[in-house]
Amino acid sequence: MTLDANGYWYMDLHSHSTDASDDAGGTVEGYAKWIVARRKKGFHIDGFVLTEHRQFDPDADYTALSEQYGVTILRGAELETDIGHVLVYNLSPEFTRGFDLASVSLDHKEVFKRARETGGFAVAAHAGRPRIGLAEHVHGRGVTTDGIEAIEQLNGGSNDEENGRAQELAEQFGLHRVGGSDAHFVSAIGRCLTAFRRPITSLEDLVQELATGEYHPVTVEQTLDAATEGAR
Amino acid sequence: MAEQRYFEDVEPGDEFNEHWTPTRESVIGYLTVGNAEAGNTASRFTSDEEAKKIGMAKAIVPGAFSMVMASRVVADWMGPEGKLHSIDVDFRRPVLHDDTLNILALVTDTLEDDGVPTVKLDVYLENERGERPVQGTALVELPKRG
Repeated sequence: MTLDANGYWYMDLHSHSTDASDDAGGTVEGYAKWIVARRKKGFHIDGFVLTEHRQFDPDADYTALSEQYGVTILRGAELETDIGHVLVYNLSPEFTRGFDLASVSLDHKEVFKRARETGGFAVAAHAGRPRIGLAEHVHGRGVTTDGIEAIEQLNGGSNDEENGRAQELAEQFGLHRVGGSDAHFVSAIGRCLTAFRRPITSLEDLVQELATGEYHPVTVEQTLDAATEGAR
Repeated sequence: MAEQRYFEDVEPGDEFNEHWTPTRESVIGYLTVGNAEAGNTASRFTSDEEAKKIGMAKAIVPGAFSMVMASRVVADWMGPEGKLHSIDVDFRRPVLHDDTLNILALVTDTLEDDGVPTVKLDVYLENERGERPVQGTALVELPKRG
């Protein structure tokens, strides 16, 4: 488990699988296999976080797959709030007991606050997307970004304009920025990533790094550039 | 006739594509197959005005037409002895008339479960706005050499 030649560790922080998201066509093993195939072509993808829609199964365990393919596989959730979708990492029983995860209108302030209080971290997903992204709620409804530390600026399911809108929001309010593929199908995994400065092999690592703010979003093509530059 | 593809020559990560720009004329042509009147009726598929009434930027391409085109790309790739067992797509955003589309297919796995040489593919349409309005998977059986 080492950083790439330029000192980065690349994680896809947003993905869905057939295990728990009914709109997904990709299996967890399929994602791991695809990452191995991408690595053979020079791309750097160290792992991914499964963020299934509106649920979290504390008993799901992907350790065997993770070891078999040499890919970090972590689990979070994508919840639905009054300011759009929110990715939550390291959901503790204390956190999940406090919310009906299946709800489509959770109080975002409570989600962000409780995530941090219970050892987790929350990120506003696909922030530039109409209706389900934070930007529209900030600019259209006057919602503040109080309590929000990071947004998903680069989302694989958003178009260029939407990702640009998220970038403007991050710059305007000084929010940290992550990247995630929002993969629902195998070949989309790792399309957008977050570049961290330290290896991440556990949810505790992930939360610790997200709290530092020392990361940025990248496309998978940018990891190839990094590899090429590093080899020179 | 398309060239034959063999199971041994395929590996995860392989990809192939075809460009497609659905024009109003081609959409009408599609709609008219089996229903001569459909192409002459103003609808969200043929009229910008009708499409705008339901919140679209302009006239949209029928989902089934997009699926047919994706199926054709896979069928051309696998060759005459290949068997397309299934294709399953989600329609995540509208495809608009005159969009510049890239129909992409990627090999995500190769299997020989029960001795049947099978290839799993991801199939999607990508437009000039960086969107993937149609995404899905296909399952293809390919012949083996010899």
